[in-house]
Amino acid sequence: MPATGVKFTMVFRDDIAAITESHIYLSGSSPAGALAAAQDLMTARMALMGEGIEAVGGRLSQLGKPRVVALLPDSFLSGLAVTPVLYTIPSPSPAIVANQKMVNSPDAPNSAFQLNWTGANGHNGHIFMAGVPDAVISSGSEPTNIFVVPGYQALVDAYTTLLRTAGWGTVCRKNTLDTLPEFTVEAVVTDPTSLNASLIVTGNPAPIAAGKFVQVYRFTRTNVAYLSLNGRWQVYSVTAGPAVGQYTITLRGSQGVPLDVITALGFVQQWDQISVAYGALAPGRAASRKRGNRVLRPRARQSRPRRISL
Amino acid sequence: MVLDYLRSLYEAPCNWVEGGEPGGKIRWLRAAPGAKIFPGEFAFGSSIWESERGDDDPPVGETRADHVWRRTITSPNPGQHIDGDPAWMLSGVPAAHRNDPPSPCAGQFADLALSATCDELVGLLALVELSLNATATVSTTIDIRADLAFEADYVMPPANHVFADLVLDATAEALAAIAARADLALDATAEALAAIAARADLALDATAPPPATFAAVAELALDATADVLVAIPAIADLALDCTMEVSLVFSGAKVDNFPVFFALGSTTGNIGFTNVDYDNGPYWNLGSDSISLTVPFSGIYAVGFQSNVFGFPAGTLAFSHETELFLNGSATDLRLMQIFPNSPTAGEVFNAPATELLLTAGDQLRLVYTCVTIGAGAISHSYNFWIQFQGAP
Repeated sequence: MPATGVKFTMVFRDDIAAITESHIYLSGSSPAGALAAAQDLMTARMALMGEGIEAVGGRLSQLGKPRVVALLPDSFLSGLAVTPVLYTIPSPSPAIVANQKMVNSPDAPNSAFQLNWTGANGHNGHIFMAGVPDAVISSGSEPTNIFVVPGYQALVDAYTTLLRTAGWGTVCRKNTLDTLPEFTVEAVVTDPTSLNASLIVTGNPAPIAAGKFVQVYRFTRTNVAYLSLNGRWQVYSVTAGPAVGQYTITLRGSQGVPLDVITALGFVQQWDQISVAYGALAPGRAASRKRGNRVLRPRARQSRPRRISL
Repeated sequence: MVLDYLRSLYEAPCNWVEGGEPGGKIRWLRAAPGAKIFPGEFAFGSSIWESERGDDDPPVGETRADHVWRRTITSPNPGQHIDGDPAWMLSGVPAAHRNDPPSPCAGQFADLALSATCDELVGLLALVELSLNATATVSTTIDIRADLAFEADYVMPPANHVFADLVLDATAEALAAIAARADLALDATAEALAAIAARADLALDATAPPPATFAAVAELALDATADVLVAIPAIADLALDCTMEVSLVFSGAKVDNFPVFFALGSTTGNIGFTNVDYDNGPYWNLGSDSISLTVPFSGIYAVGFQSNVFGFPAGTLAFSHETELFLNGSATDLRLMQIFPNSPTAGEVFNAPATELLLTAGDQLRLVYTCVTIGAGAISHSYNFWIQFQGAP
């Protein structure tokens, strides 16, 4: 079962790169129902941005089927397209142009930090918070004290509070605590017919079945240069045997994985997702600068191979 | 109108009709500046963002299979409004209205347009493939001719120039063939474009205008033509390279004035040639005058002159000597000057500084000497005149 909720993706950009950040609105069952909450969240997020960041847009999509998408309206975005508050006083330049990054400004949005979160059933992770003004963050500080501007700390607190209390969360892979059983792999063999890798477990591995996706994890190998069996695979077949009580799970498309370099066997679990609410949120360490892809700019055209025999 | 936010643009299969009907496509274009955001919910968002979705595709909208990245094209539509019933953007075009004229739903007309142009696109691509294959065949022919020439060079070095001529002829034929093929390809492309335009007119008659879709198709067609046009000069370059390599087989030519030439007093005349030069092919005029060289290929030639002194008898007080090149019967003012010392020693060799000339195939080259001796003795010496092909201009 896919996760539930409405996925909200915010899209920002400065002059050369873009920043996207996604969260799941757990209380919403349709994009329209999450519109107000999404606008509140994007407003709070925009307040954390550095000088020159532009709010490009936001998209809401319903998880599961059918696909339903909605975009944040023009009327909302036009209100966000302003230069945020400058933390450097006086301004480094008397002529601030809206939506233009001041390259030498301490408020340039080149910094970032991690926002660590924990949720139910042992789920945890971090949100990469990009576009942070250089002036407010101390990259050499301990995680509990990375902001050098108190006003900015307050804005971060407001954002994390909104994430936690307004029904926001994220999507995680289900684990055992989410009542999704994991099966210990007792042996790995090559399927003689398809040459795929086959995992041998004890007991019926339901709900794992042919066509379903499984997560294989905690396998080790002699050298990381070899292809790993860890990852997401589609099940080719599930058959009883080779011994009584054992079952063989064959993974589709795993012919290229060398089995003789495996040093420790791990687990296999049906791949499924669940929406998890943010429980606790706290700033972590400062992260590297200038994350984000070149985006919303045209990619260079990739030339087609030419059919010329020379 | 704005329907989604994407880093890169692509084309993908899409079900436009309510309930799902395979065969449609969607191509993402960049929204025009100032385009408005589509109000409300819709089913035709990009699947790029849908990593949390289940494994199956929805009945209406884009599927995640067979994405093909496309270059960025900005939509020619201003994107200020949507034609037709906005509800169809969520539910898909009702099957009963699929072919209704006019069909104002954006999804429907895009579907129709893509279906209408699909055949033309396939045909156009086939034509491009055909033209490229044809060009490749011509290039293979050039390779074979060049191989023949080089093989002949190995077997019969003195006759290099003959085979160089052969290869030049072959290359000229190949280039003419390429030009003809290029014309064919361009004609074919033009026909395909005309066909697309005709289909576009039909679609425009039947539906609301889909300029964005047809602009994209036109871009594709132009891209394909550009590929052909790029390929043709590449082949032409190859042919020229091939010609140059073959031309270099012509290592040069030398003529000797032999036997020993005697000069006494002031003497002027043409340096005559004999058939002992090492390239005794048709480039030397071995007729009655034996004084001119026919330039074999257009290009840059090094020209050199050498004189060997055999005797400088007593009584000769001084000796001056100069030669001048004549091109097609006219003096070039290019003088290869040699001033012998007052008392040159027998056996000394004097070299004039080599020069370079840009010559055209068929030019006649002649060397005229003037030598003056003062005194009673007669200088005996010989001439050695040579040219060597250096390369294309």
